[in-house]
Amino acid sequence: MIPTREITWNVDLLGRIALYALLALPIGFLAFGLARRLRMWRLGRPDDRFDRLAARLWGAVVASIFHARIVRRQNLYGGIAHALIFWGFVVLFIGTVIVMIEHDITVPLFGFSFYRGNFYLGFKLAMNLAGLLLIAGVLMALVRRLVLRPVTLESSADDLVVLAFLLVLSVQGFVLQALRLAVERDPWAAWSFVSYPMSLVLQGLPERLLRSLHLVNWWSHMLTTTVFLAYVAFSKMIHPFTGLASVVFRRLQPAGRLEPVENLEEAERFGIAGLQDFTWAQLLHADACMHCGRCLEYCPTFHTGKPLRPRDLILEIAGYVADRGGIFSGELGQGMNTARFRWGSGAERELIGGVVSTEEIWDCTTCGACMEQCPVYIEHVPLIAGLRRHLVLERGEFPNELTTVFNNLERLASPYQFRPAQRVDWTKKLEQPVPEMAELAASGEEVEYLFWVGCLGSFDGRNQRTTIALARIMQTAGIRFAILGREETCTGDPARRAGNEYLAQLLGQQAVETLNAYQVKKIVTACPHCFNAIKNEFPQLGGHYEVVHHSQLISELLARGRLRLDPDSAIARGKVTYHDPCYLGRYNRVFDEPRAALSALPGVELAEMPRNRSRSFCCGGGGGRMFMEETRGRRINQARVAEAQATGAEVLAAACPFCMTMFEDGIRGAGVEGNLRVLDIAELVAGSLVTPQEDGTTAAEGSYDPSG
Amino acid sequence: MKICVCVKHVPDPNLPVQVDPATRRLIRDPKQSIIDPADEYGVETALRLVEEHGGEVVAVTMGPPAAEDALRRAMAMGADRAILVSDEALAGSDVLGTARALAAAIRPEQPDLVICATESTDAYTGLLPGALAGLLDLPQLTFARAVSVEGSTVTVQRATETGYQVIQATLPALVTVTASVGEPRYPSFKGLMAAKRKPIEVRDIAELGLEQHTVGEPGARERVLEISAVRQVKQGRIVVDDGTGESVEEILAFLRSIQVV
Repeated sequence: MIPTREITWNVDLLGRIALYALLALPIGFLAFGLARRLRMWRLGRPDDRFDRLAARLWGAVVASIFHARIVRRQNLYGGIAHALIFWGFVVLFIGTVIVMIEHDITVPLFGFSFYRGNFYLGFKLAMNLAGLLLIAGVLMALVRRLVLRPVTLESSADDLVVLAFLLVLSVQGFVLQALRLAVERDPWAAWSFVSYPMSLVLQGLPERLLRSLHLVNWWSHMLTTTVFLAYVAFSKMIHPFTGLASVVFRRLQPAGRLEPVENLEEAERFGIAGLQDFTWAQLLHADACMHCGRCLEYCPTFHTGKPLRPRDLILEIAGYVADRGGIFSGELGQGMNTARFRWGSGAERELIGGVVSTEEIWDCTTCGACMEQCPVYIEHVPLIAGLRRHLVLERGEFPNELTTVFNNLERLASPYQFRPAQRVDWTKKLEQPVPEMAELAASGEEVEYLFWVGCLGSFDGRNQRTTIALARIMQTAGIRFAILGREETCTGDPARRAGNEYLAQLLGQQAVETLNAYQVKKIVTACPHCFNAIKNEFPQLGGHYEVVHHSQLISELLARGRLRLDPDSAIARGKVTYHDPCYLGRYNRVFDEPRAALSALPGVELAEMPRNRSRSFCCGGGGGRMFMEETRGRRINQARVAEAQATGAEVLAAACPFCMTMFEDGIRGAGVEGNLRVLDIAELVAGSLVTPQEDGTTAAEGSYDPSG
Repeated sequence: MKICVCVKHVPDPNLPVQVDPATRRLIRDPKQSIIDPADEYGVETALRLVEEHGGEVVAVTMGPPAAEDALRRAMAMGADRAILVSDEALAGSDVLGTARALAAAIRPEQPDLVICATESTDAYTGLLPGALAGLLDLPQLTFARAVSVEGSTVTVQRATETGYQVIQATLPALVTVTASVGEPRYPSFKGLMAAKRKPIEVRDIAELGLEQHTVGEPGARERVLEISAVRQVKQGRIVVDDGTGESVEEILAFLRSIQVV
């Protein structure tokens, strides 16, 4: 006898017809729900997201099938629960489709049956396994939502209803199978390794009863399926569709780039202030948010108790859109619509000030931890930038501290009140002169690197020491370099991220003009913000350069043996921990070179903080935040300093002048000056340099005092 | 109502001041000059009054063509029009000469209110508003920390050392404002763009009907005899606490002695 089963066993013709009629209903619902969404997304402004389709589709495969952004270290439990549910559900769905193909296509049309023999046995095994995975995943998810309750997770009725559906459906499936097996007693029943033992228990019941139970169960299963499918379109279960679309139409530009406002001077509206200002991709993204809370895992504002929580920001925007004729995935979960969630309370509310508070808008450090974690690639930072642009460009409303910054940027091309001529002051502290490009251009000399010093490195006393250290390293290694000196200007990064797109473009254009005038090709900088702007944003302005961060240059020089380090003159010994700057690590994927440089230091042991590399925790200084008071919640820099201290390290290695300033403040604020120092990678390396002497011998850099 | 606000293009007060020893005058680099931050309070006051009562704000300045920058800033903030009094013949004007030129430009406007800062952030004479009020024959309400208008009456809270006086005058009048009137707005981008397109009305002495001997170097009766740097005396005292908390008493005693607490 060949193993198989009658597909609609125990169900009469009427039942079969009713089943198909019933199924048309939820499929119609789903089609309607998706059409509504599509129509809503199409309300958005144009945005070209149809390029590089292969990369888009492959990304969607990685994100869905391989769960790339779902199963992650910080959220292993939740990730595995999701993977079990996903795989269980997908396999069962494919199984159902296979049965339908056999029953409705190959047999009636071609008289061909494949649902038998070894295939059938393997199928049974796979389906039982999938059902088991699904149940395990759902139970894990229920435990997570009801017992573990991680701080990043808030559960609504919708979340629990969906899980309950999945649990009921899978249990019904097993019971159905067990009841049939109890009557039919297939000799190969053991392949259904979950329902077979269940059938053994049921065998004692009379066949009539078993058949009746089976029929009742069959109908209830079909009804549950129908209701569930209908529910999909109006609940978070729409996320296989919206999430996938959101991943496919994700942004493929460099993560560190903020798109400029095109034709600024002719534009009518700036930034985001209402429904008409979102791009279709932004509407799609907001719609795809399943409030999983992964964006909160490394969020500096969430972890220091500030109003901004990226998840809530997206939900607020989604709710705002829903109030204006859109549709919200969590519509049935409005039990959450309490104090924290301000959406869904009337179409008259303004987006800014009504739905999204200005505190939320100005809290963001633009560190990108939310975007890095989001499984559906929602772009929080560009949204925040859009909201800020509206406030700055149209209303002229922003935190007071920024007025001085904007005025200085406008008048002095730097956030600080210094004359451009003072940009070269630091060079006087070096024995060897540092040429300015203007001098070299006059004499026709060429250099290997332009050293882009940046405003903090030029003017800020603490960061000048990093600048001097880097210049010394390059001089020791014999690299020919020059600075722009008094011609250097801000790249526009703080202005752009604080919403002042006008100033940002002005400054960016000015900088590109200067660089192009000297035909600069290679740039080295110690500032990740300048690095990011030059690398990712200057090309939009016609500036194309090869730019390296000083940690990359230093690690290369060390690897090539162009720098000699003295084991005795090391300025730091023992444990050193490294803080990944957001604009170097997360945004530009430079993780290894800074670590390589630190590992090369004699007597230094690199100790990692728990949050490192792409999961680094922001210093609190990005997005213009360094210039603003931090009045809400706990201090971000102090939270990070505490984390650094917990590694047992005495030195916190920085690679960014913003981080440097934030950590110097954080160390003082936490009162741990005696236990922890912050030093730039360049300072650490320069402090251990062996410099070649005129007479051919070498001497340790004894005169270099990093504390002075 | 129509309000004329006087503004001045001054060297950025946040940067170190440089003096030309030969002319004994401030070195005025137009690239590092800005609207006098004190005048931004005047512009802000005028804008708020016009926002409340309707009307027009006209920014007025005297200076070389580069002083246009200060007017553009005032217009970016929201001023409707701008008048630049500019003429080679005005170079070297003293306070009275400057006041004559400004009065000549303001008089035909017939404003309900003239607003000035208490004093400029470069020369700090504080004399111009008085001279201007005299020439325009307007009552002057000085050191305003708040300004309001009701009907044809302007009411001002005049800051004094111990508090403030409430004084009133019938319009037209001249008011000088302090930094307590309210934070000046940062111009929105829309304001900046609009200000770029607005025309600036330039007046020379002929158009203003001024005679050379009353203005400029020839008309100036003030002379800068000497200019020297002020030696900065380090202010403040540092009280170091030895861990006993006695410093608290010491600081309190000091604060009492200067009647702060």
